[in-house]
Amino acid sequence: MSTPAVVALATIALVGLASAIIGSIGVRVARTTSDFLVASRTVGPAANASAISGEYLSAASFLGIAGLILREGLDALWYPIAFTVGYLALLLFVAAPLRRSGAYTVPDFAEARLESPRLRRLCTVFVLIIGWLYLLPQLQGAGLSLTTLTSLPSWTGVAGAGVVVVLTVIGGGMRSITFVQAFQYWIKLTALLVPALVVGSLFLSDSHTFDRPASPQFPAATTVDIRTDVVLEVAAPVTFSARGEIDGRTVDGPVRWESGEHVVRAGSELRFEAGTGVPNVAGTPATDQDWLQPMSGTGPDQLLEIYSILIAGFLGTMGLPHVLVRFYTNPDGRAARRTTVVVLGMIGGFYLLVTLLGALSRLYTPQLLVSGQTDAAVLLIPSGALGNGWAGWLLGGLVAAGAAAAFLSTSSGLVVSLAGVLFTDVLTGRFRDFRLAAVISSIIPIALALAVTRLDFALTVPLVFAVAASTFCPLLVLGIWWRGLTATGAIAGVLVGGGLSAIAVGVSLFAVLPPGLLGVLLYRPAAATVPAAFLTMILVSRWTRSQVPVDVDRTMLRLHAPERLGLGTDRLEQPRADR
Amino acid sequence: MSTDTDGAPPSVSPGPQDGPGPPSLAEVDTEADSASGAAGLPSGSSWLQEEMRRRMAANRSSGGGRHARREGVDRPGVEHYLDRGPGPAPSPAASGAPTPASRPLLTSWVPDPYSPSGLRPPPAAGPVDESSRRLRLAAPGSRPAPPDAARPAPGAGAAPPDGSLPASDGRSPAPNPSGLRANAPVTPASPLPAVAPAPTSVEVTTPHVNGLFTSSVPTPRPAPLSSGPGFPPPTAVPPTAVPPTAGSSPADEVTADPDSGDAPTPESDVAAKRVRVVLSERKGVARSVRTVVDVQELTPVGELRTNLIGTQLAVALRVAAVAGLTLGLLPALFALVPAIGRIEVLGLRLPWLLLGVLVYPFLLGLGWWHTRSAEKVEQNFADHVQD
Repeated sequence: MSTPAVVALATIALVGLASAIIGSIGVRVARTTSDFLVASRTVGPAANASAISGEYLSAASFLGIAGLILREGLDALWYPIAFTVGYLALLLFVAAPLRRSGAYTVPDFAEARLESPRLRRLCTVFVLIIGWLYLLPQLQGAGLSLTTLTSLPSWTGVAGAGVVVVLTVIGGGMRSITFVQAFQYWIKLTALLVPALVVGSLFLSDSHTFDRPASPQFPAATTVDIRTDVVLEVAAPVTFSARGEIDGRTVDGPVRWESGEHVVRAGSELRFEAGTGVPNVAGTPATDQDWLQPMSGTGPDQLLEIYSILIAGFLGTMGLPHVLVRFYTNPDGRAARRTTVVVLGMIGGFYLLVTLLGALSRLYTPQLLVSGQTDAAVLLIPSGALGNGWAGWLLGGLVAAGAAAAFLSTSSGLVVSLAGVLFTDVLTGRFRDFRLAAVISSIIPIALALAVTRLDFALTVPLVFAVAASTFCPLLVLGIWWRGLTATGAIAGVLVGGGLSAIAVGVSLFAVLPPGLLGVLLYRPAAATVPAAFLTMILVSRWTRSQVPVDVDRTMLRLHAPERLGLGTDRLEQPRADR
Repeated sequence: MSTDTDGAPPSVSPGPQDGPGPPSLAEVDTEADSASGAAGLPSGSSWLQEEMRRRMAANRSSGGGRHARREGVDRPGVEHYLDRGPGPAPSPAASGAPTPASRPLLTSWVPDPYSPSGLRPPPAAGPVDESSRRLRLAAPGSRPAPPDAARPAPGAGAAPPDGSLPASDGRSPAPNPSGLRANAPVTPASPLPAVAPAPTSVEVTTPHVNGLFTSSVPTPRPAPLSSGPGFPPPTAVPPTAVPPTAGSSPADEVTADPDSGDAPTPESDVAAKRVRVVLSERKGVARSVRTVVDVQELTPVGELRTNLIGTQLAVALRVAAVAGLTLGLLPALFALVPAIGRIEVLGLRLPWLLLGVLVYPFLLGLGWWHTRSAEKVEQNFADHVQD
């Protein structure tokens, strides 16, 4: 194993170890069910904001967005914006009332508001679906990182991350996870800040510019292994040597490509000299100038896609179970609101760095454009910019630590929230079962992650957001602000939104998408499914007006009145009999 | 509580849920207060007001902990009112209202502590004591003492109250504002004014004891119903319902009885309300009494609640509109005016500057703006309710 690989492994192990130690400190204070589920509702705004940011900034954010920017340019900036603006929506419509509901999971909120056990069960199902769907790319991200950095097989990363996650969660539940995640946010920020400063200053001292009518160039002689079939596009003729199957012919030697598209089969090896123009995956901006411009794709389709991403992010964040559950740990609604504002700042700062690194990776790691493994951009940028030496290795190790923190924190946050739901709604009993629930909720996605081939973060993560936005968002927003919502309406809306978006997910993952607007809608379903879910919920609620809970006004007041009026309740401390 | 409407309270009330203990007590307490207040008004309003002031002060001073509980209790009542919110909003002044309404809520809430501590000792014993103690305080203080004058009225049975009412009327208007507690004493007065408009429901012939309330009651029926169902059936119900008829079964009643002694006085009022619940025969009268109180009490708070949610929604939508318009128009702008993509600002392309850098402070600013506005709204609401 090479030196950089050892450095990276060592730092990843350090992060895992530090997380375990911090988690075990939490174990000593975790005694009650409330500790496990909602950290006894004692987490202040700053700590909770760190934890939320740490948990939210997943491998998709740490690795995926920079890769998207590398590949798609300006248009990829809408992804981090959508992921951030989701917290604004959460703050505006959900944070404080959700905390004041006294609920401790999303299904519990649904039942508290609408008094329907059926709705509760339905929500439980969707929490599990969303959670597992979201865990999948996280765990596979761990595999990708390990493979990229150390060339170990990717299953080791998946399994290793899974084990660490289960151990931390079992150790102390939400109480200790809070500390671990807060710690991991700062790790992630450091792991981006240092490379951003170093590489950024390198960039400024150079005379590089992005404003060129040509594709990026390889900074040094580079060999690219093609691991999956790919269609490449070149803007200007290129010459390189290759071995493998290209454009349907087996070649071994020099190849010249004219402008246009070329098919390369998996297993091929392409060798480019320094200064050669970089071919890019078909469908992405070929020249740096295009890459700099907005709307590099085809007009209306791309506009629809951007809006769909924005809607999914804006409304989907509030539907992610691991994010929501964190708001239950605040002491009151006011703290929940302040937490969200701090989160907006923390996440914004993080994405600022991601954007910078993503843009710089266009200069320093263009070979990823050829292989299509753009998700590895952040991992490779230190060695790409600093070359082969201890400076590059150490910086690479730091980035690896950040990546490890990213998939560990999101995964453990997801597992905690899923275990909380399993624990209260599926399993019965007390303490022991929480650990069992944690194991169950992580084993299933680990198995899936090992069985399914890895997909781009850019594909999977927005799909999860779309499902969340089509199910929990209407439920939460209407439940909190509209007294006319009925249980039947909520169930119908969740089923319609969830069903439509699930179909879209299935088609985009396993089938070939039709071209045009329909294809975009299947690939980015939020623009259609979210309005459909809202509409269904409202219409059915009006039809079943008589089912509006009799004490709806009391419930509504409790959601909105400040705590000092003494209206609140903590459902966790109510006798279980009424659940 | 739906039982109330049914007129078969006793069955509901009960048994199993002794739980109501604390809440019920609280209710009783409040009721007694209000009642006493009503009674007292005629004669020694000043005395009452003083008492009220004292209590309010006490309330405020007691931030959390034990005393907090009491506040909490009242609040729940408030909540209850909310249900009716839209209902007739006669004289907001209705002070007495809080009590009845609160009661059901109280019971239901009991399990969950109002107080952050949350660990309220559930049941009867503790709370009972407190309540009884409170009652005494209220009773002696308010009723007996000031009271002679006031008392007589109640004593007269149903009728007397009326007499007292008029007197109170003069005063009542002033107090109306919004504070529940403060209003409470005042309440009696308010009813009367309400009476004048008398959208009164049904055939409520301002009868005896209830007279006060009845008069004010505007279309009471619906209200009670709504309120009733609202409450979780189990907890709260019992105490209130039971007392009316027999006047004594649960601890709550007991406490009340001693205090009232004279029965007819404020206590009697309470009893009357309950009675109506119990006996369907009483018809509109009894019901009306309760309704009136509820409505009066509820109305102001109900409006407040509607205001609170409406205002908060407006605040949220305002911020969302700013964010939505800004971010929503940008993609379209980029698509329609590609030239924007070539403008350079500070060495960066304008779109990169906007989407990569400036968005984040912008969103943070929006979040901060919203938090401040929302907290201000809550502050106003809380101040109103607590007045």
